[in-house]
Amino acid sequence: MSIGLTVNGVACLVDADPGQPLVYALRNELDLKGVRFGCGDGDCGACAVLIDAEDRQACQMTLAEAEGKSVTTVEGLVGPDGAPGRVQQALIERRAGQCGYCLSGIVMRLEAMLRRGERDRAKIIEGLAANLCRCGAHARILRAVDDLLATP
Amino acid sequence: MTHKLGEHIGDWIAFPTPGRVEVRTGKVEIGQGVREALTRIAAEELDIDPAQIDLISGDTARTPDEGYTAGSMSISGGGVAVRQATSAARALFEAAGRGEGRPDYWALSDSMDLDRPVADFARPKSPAAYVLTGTGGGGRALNAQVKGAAFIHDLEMPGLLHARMVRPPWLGAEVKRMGEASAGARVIRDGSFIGVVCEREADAVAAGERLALTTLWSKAPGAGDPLDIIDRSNEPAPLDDAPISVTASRGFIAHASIAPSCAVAMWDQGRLTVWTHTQGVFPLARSLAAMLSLDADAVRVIHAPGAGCYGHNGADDAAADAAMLAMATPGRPVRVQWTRAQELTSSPMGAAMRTTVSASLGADGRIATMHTGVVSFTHVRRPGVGGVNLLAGWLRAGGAVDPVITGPMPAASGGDAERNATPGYDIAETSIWRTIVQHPLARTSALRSLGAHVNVTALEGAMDASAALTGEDPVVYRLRHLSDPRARAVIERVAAMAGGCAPGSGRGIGYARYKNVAAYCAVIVETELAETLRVTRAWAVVDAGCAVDPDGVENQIEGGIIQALSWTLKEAVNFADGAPSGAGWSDYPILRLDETPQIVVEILQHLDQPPLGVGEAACGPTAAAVCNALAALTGVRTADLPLTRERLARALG
Ligand code: FES
Ligand code: FES
Repeated sequence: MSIGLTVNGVACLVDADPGQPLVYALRNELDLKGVRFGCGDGDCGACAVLIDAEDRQACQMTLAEAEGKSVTTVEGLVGPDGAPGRVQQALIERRAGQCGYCLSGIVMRLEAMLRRGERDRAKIIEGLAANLCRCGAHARILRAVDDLLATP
Repeated sequence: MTHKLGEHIGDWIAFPTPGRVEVRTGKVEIGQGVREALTRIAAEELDIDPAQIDLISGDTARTPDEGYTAGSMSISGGGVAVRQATSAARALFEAAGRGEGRPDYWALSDSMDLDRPVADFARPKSPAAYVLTGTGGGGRALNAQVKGAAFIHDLEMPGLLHARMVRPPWLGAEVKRMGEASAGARVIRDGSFIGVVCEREADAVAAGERLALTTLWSKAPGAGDPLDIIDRSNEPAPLDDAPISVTASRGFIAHASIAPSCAVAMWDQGRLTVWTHTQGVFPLARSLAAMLSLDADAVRVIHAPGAGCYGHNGADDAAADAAMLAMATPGRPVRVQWTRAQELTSSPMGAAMRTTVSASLGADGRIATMHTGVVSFTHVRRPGVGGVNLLAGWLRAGGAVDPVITGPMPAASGGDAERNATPGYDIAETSIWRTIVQHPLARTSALRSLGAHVNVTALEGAMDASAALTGEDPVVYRLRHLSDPRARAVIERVAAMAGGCAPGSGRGIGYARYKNVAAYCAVIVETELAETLRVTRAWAVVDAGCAVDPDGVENQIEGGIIQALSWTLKEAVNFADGAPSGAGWSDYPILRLDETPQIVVEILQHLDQPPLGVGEAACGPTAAAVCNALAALTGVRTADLPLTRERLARALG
């Protein structure tokens, strides 16, 4: 059974088990390795992606539930010339990570909040509390948030 | 003539195509930023753009054997080695070339014999000539990670199979009744070692879950709570006449990397290739060969980056899992990934321990004697250290658990449980007593800073308690015990930055020179006590000698502070029936982004000094600062970690 969805702006048909968690379908069937698996339980945020305009954890929904939707991953924020998107750029500039494994999810969470027009620092931090970072890049990530908020 | 890989210039460097330089290192990227620093060092010595360097790291077939990437020695050891080798290469080319300035490596490389000893040609630049060392940010560092594939988890190869493991609930459990996996899944079993292999990952996940649910294991022997062993240990009582006695302790700490451990292995025509995020490709290759009864040269181990690594985590075990599964699926590479629960419960843990420091004061109010007693589980159980030490080797039929090493690690490597138990202060009489305890179900090994986390907390608690007894300011009191100017400098600077940490301010200080030979680090934290203890601000000063990549050093210190806060305020592995338990993150909370203090780090740069290891330097001082701040705030000194709401309520009455 094929599932139709739009991924990073491109219409796709995925021929795979529709009941599988979206995180595996994106990584393996669509080769979007920027979607990270961290826990599979909805607890760490590593797998966050945009479903239409909303940030959702790709381990907590099935491929079938994404049918007809528009999915955006970190790959979709990169410009055609390979230039990182604004949130990615802000994190790179602050070297806001050590291993960087948590960052895909953090990028997508921030992207969703900024697209919603969220400009309240406290609210953004509250949103980011759903994403875990074990390397302790916390303070640097928040500095990147401040940079983003300082740019109109 | 044969030589040991690493002795010759050509072992470290090659000029394969015009404009490109290949630099090989046995050290590996574990999130500590070593690629950035090593690239910079090589570019500096060769006078080329860092972007021209292709760094090859951790491949038993291609790179020098530099043992483990551990102990905060990536730069102090691995960086110095790269500096020596690349400077030797440049000297060779200079001698062969004509004229001034940088030699044209690529024009000369065909006729150049790089099979010459590094030691004969090494001529590192004088620090005064450094352009790249000690400057700039880390602009390149995270580019790949935020854009797409970057990790071992993302490796693709033709014919890749996917696997999941089914683990016994406790070490030593035996299968009573094998369960069922889903149709199409291949179950590979050897004793208590059980894996499922499928063509597709989602199928392997489902099959692994089903098999785990339906398999019955023997009941745990009721070996008792491992923490009781520490409590029961007959540590000598603090000296009766010692006016100061401070105890610090912690439970077991999980590495809790954000990514589950992962590995890929391929068994093909009698040769095993393993991709892994291990800290030591060479020791792992030897342990795998021993475990699988293969010739050493039939095993090739290649490093690929995992998520942040803070010690001996599940990486090596996952590599052994993949190897066992691959040998049952010849000609097809197998990728295994652990579940979150497995990551939290079947990886080695950071050791639970307890340290008591008793001190007495002289007539001048200074500390005259300081005696330290350490009771701890082992911190040294890496593959190849005293045994194979791979979980698969323990679980499979006929496998046996390797014995625990109880003797101390050589003092030269910083010790293990007693790491930093020796005070870094000028104290006339000191002694250390240590004992290693064991429990059959508690598997522990190296976690960032080893015993220093708890030892520095106890020792710095004793310093603070002594200062309080004499009515002195904790900063001034410490300085009275320090003649090393570099130690004094970090403390003086952090006190100036924070504006001191007077009693009642809710601030506390912690200081240590990591391993007593690596980086100097002083930390002040500011705390607030509501329902929980919250750290709102942190200041840190570090002297890492020559800080090659200062932003990388700052990143390590900031990360060390956050991680140590998390250990200190929140973390302890839960046990059920004597074995580590927990299904996921909700059972093992770590510090979240909405609990981030403001952090300011300063580096005291010494370009003319050797680089000093920095990755673990902040852990002890941070934990100590938190406990000292709590004492300053409440008058109650407790370091029974973690300082959770329940424990605080108990301690504060
Ligand atoms: S992997 Fe989806 S929330 Fe952790
Ligand atoms: S940078 Fe490693 S987990 Fe966040």
